[in-house]
Amino acid sequence: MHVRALSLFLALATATLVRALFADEAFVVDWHIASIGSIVPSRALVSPDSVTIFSESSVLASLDTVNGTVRWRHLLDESAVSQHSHLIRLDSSAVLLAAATPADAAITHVAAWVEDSGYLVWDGYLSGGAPLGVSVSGDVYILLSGGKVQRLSRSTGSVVAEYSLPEGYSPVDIVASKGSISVITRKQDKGLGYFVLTGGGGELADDTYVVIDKNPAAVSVTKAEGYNSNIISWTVPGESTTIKLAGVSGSSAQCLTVTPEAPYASFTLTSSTSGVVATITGLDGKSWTETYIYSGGKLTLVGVTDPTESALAVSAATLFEISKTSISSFALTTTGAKLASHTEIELSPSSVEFATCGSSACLVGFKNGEYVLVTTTTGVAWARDESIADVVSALFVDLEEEGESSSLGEVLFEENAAPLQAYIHRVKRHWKALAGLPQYVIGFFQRFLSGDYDAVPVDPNSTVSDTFGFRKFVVLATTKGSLRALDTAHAGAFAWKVDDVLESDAIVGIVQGDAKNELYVVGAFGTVAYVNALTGKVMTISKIADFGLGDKVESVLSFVDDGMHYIAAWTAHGQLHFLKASSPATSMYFSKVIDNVVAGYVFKENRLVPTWQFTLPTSSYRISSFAARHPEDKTVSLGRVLGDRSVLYKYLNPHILAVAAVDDTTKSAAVFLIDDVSGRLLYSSFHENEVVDTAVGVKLVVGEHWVVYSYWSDLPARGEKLVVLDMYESDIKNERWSKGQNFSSFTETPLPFVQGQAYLFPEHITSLTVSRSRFGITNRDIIATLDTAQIAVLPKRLLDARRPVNRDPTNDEKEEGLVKYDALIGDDKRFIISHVYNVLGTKKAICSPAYLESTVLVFAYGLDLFFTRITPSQPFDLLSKSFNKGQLLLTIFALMVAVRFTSPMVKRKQLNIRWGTQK
Amino acid sequence: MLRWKVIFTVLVYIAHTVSAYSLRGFLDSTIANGRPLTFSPTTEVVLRSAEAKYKSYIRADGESFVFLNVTAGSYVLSVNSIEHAFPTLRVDVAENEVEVFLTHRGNEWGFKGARQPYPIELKPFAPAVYYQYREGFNVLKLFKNPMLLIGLLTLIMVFVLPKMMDSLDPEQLKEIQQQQAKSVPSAIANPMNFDVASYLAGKTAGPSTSASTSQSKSAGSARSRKH
Repeated sequence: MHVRALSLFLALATATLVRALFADEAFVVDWHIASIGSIVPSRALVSPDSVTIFSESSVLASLDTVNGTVRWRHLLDESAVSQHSHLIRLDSSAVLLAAATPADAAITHVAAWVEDSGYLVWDGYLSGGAPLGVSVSGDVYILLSGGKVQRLSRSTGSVVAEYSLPEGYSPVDIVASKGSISVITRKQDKGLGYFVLTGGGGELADDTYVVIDKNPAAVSVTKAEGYNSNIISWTVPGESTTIKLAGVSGSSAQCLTVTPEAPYASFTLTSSTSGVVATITGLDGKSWTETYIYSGGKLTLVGVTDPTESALAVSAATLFEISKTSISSFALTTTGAKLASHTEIELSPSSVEFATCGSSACLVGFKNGEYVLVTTTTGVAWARDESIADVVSALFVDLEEEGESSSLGEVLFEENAAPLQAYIHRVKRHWKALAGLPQYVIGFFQRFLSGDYDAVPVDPNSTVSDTFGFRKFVVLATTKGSLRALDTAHAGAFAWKVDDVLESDAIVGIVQGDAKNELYVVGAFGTVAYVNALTGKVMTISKIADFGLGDKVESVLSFVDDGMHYIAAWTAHGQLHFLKASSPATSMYFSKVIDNVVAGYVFKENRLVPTWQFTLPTSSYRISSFAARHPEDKTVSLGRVLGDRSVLYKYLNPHILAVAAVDDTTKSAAVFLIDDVSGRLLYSSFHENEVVDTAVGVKLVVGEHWVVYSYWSDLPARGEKLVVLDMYESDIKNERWSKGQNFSSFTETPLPFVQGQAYLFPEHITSLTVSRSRFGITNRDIIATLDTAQIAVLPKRLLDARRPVNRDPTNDEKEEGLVKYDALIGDDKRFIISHVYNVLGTKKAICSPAYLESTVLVFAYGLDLFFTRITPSQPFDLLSKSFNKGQLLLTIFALMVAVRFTSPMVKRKQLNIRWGTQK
Repeated sequence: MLRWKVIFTVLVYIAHTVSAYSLRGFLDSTIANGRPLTFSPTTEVVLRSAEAKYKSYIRADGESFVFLNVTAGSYVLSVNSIEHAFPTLRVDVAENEVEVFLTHRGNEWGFKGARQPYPIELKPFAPAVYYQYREGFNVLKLFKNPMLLIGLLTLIMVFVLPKMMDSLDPEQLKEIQQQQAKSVPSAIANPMNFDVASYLAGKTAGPSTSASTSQSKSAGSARSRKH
């Protein structure tokens, strides 16, 4: 009880440091985009009510068919490898996902989910390998890579029966139908075949083995289940013009060879009510379907459609034909009558990757990561851009300041021209500007009445910033090689999109050029594109000169030296290529983390010379993360003023590289602070005997004179530890050795005095970032993305190493703003800036200052995207929203009225006094 | 009733699980005021140690959860919920036994809290509060402001008191004034006698024995100031 009372007191003591989002600002200043990741057609179930997907990002999601919003989703741990995960329909209300677990691919997790709500119906673990095939026929049959077949009860998921393949047969797939279960296998001497299992009363036994193709080299074996025929198809290397088919229902099978009308590039097989439909794409890119009727071990070709450039997809008895402008459905009968069609649809300019259809709607996937649901009745129901779920790199782009583009040149002209000319020019300019006056006046009153600068909306098509610089573009580079720009002021709407920026190259990084609207996009194979960040226009595209054969760009640097801005790319072969202008004339120092070594280099006379190496204390350590201070982070004060007016000078070394290493065997972690010019070790801290979660590792952030890192450990207190290291020049007050001199990394300067403190944080942190304001005057906030799908901010002031431990702060300490140390921080949910949003899978947050010193824009990405703005020192330069302009006006008015009435009274009284006639 | 049915079905297939141990529990949806809580499907129950992490989702009954395939060890059990705040528990899984304890963050791991029942029962202790609210215009709060009260009092004295004095019977007035003259002759100590009107009219108020003398004095001084 005593402990609780104490912690309550402490919570109250630190209460001033807790500030929360105002309820009226939630959903106004922030936005969230929920993503699901790339869709694989084999794991997408299209039904009239929902589209259920297990994506490549391991997200199981159900989308609304009407507007494409996420009805529910789970970020699962299961493997998203195509061969090892299967999503099928269990019954009318549930879907089944069978996937290998990531920790152990030999274990399969099978789970049934309620399609409408996302609750779990049942789940279970199966040992014996990853799932190779799943089939539902009454019960659930799963074939595991270890050669085992498991029959699970459809309603409870419990294992009803088991069967193991005989020695020597490798499992391929499983097909279950009403009468029989066929396990397709491959054996070196027998070729492709299947076992027919019979199973009543909980037992599964193999009755017969049917050989379907003696050639064991059969590849790309796929099944087509449903209706009256279960068909498998495969191809044989060397026979690229034919497709082999066989029915797998009976106790005897015949291998059939189909030769399509023309050479094919790819094909898919669908079992439909009218027969087996092969959707074939020819070498020229045109598609057609061939329908076969299978009966008595024979295949008869009954219909061929004309080759078309449209995408074709077959569902049940319907053939869908989707072109750029229309969608049509045809009956898959011999006549092929048109059932319905819808024209005037507009699809993405990117090329179609797949189309998968339900009874009335088709999900179409495009190469650039966009997905569209089209129906024959409404056309495009919705479109989703999922490329933003896989972000390589993101950055904020400043927009043009208001009026800047039009008048800067004109003002310069007026300054330099002859007086008369300049005067005429100015009058003309003002006359033109007068046209915008009514709009300005209306805007002024709107703003005045609402007290809200958002009351005058910024045109979404303009590239002009708003009054306070809250509007910026966030440019994302995706793994699919495209760029996306999101408008922060319009809930993340796309400002522009560019696909295949680097043609076929994969993007490694994007950096800003000299001007704020230039972007350099660098690809892995040395392609560099120069893009206008406001319009997305690719200005130039080139290759890095003398780029090594087989070399790969690993990272992109952007730095300023002697007023010159450089952009350089590190390659896997240890080369440093300067991308912009010429390579520097002066010596320059670089460091690079290569595997478990930090290496220093000097670049002089156009050559990169290795200088130093930092190796970890023991070979069992591996580098888990590293961080340096953001180059644009500003310092306004050299020291920290204490309560007694003395100063502790900050250790402001711009070359600090913080490196975190973990040891998987001893479960320990270590953090090293290195001067990355000289390679000198400045400080190290070890966490041994704490049983650290080394798989997750250490998350790091470096601020002006401090480092904050976090890790999960079991001992002594279990939880996420948040450690702060504050660096000062000296532990003696007012002592400053860097006074009046520029100190160099090479001079033997004293080591920093490091003060450290550890805190306990309630949730698991996935990344740390520090806020960065325009001038650096505002306090710093630490932004942490959490694995609870939330984003938290903690004031750096709270994470202070100087907080007095086990005693109340003295008056001097109180004046310094210190509160008594409490190991527990962040218990309050008001630290969560993402409030009720479920921000799944964020891996990183970035910051950018607004025009206002108080405000910092925060953007988090990973899977979901989240944007908000924070005010670490309260919005001191912004009139509070609760400021009541009406009340102010009313008060002034009331005073005026009061003066109007009282002044005659006072006048009369004064007059009376002068006459001496007052009673 | 439903809960027991769920536990029963859970037990049925626990018998069939592959290896390791299974844990089961539920989120308590009853609350004091009688309205049952609901837990969204995004709610995750997480079992964690430095070696392993297990995640479990809410079942179709909207409250129960089951961990399958858990290896023996000591874990922290927490709930990731957008709507509610849950306590954290310590779960020790050993052969044939599952022990559940309440934990308090920051305590040494060896220090076990109160023993909890098994199947695990998690009762949310509070709704999650993410927002702070602005204080709007409030008349009552306005009248609690001492500055406003002082202002109002002053106004009353300016306008109401002289009228009251006028309405008094002259003899009664004299009586009161005589009474007050006996006490401390200070304007501040005797606010009843303090002529605010003349004070505000530009005259320093003094203790006055009668209204007329005070007026002639003040008139004189006002005139002299003009010169």
